[in-house]
Amino acid sequence: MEYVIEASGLGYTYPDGSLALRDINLRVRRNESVCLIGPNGSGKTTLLLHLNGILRPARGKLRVVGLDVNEKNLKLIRSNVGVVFQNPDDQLFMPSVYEDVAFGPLNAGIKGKELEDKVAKALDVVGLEGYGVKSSNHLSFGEKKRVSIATVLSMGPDILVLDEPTLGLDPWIRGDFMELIDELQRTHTVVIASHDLALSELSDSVYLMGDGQLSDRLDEPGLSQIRDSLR
Amino acid sequence: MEHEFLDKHTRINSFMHRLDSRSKIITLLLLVFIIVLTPIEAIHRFILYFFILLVLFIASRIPPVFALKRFVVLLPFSLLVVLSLPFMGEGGFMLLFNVLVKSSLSLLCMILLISTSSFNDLLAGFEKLKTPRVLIQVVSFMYRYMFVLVDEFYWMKKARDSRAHHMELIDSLRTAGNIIGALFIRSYERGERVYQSMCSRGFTGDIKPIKTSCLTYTDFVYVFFMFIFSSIVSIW
Repeated sequence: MEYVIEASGLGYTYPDGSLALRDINLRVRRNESVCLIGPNGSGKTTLLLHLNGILRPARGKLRVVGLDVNEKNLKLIRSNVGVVFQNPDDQLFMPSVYEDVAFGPLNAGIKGKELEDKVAKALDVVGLEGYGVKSSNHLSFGEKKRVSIATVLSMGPDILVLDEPTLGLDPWIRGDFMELIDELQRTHTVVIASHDLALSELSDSVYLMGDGQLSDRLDEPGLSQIRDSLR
Repeated sequence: MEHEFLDKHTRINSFMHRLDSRSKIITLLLLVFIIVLTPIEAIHRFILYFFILLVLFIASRIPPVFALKRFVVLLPFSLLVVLSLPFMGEGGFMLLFNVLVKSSLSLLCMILLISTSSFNDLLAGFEKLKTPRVLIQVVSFMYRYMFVLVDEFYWMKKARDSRAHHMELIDSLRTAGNIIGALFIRSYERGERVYQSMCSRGFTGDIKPIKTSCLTYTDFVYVFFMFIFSSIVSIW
């Protein structure tokens, strides 16, 4: 069985001494969709930031797309793992939508017609054709969330990492957005961190995070127990 | 959105708006230089400068009231500088007139420039004119996040006002200090997160530009005309 993410005994302590992750064991197969659920401050985001080497494991081992996460492999790993941050204002920093979506491919040395195609295709997937000329300042929150996803899709990653993708979306647009995520899960390996339990229903595997620790893969009874306890 | 004011009227479809920002930057900066270097006795030249600016303003289709408002907002800055000039002794009034006329005309040039190009187009223009990239990037990030900061500031202010009905001056200054401090920390943390998200997309320390060039025939005609006009007026 081929695993694209393999973490064993992964641990991380923040510089201020707070223990964020302890003994995380997680294996994700290609094209599997994984949902990490858990309360705020349980270490979900910290774990996600390890997946493309923004944070490095203090203890234990982590392999992504078959590579050890270290300085040498960083470039390859980052082009294979697209991380979408929680707040779209952190993700969109360029003057226009086009430049934001083109940022990743440009760093990979892609230019000209190929760049244009990649940007257009990424915007097309998230349903925002023709938004390239707009400035991020003038987008709605839902549109910003979609553009954020396009900014990593343009890099053509195998693995998509989404931090709280539905946070702050109103119920009117949330449904469409869930459809988009569902679609992406069919074509990519997707790792989602969320406290939105509805998202867990879309995923193949669900794990519970609490206090820096990851549970075993939750089965259906375990999941419904959590749902009931939060009702 | 409470901060549309900056790019207001930059999306009108007019002759001036369609020009490439480079041509506008070059010609209008040139005009400012020539205005500043013109001897004050040559009043007919100033009239000509004003006339050409008027023509450009009409061609830009910016609402006159809007341009006038901008002018009135900016004018006090030059007024403040010139107010003391009449007391400088002989020729003081001439000096006042000199500075006032030149600064007003220069202001009109700049109002024309910033009202006919969006901020991002202006930055792109300056970048193509070989302004140092670091400078452009700093300004570009500032512009992008200024709106986010303004929003955060509004919300903090609203949160304060909804809990404090009336405050003594000293207290309101103290909370203002706290708000500024909080804004500083938030911006610092946001900077960290933005940097992380840049690294996630392969950033290695240099933002690569997208090469686009859109100088048209009209641009060349316009720039050529402005150069000819400036040369003729300055030797006349």
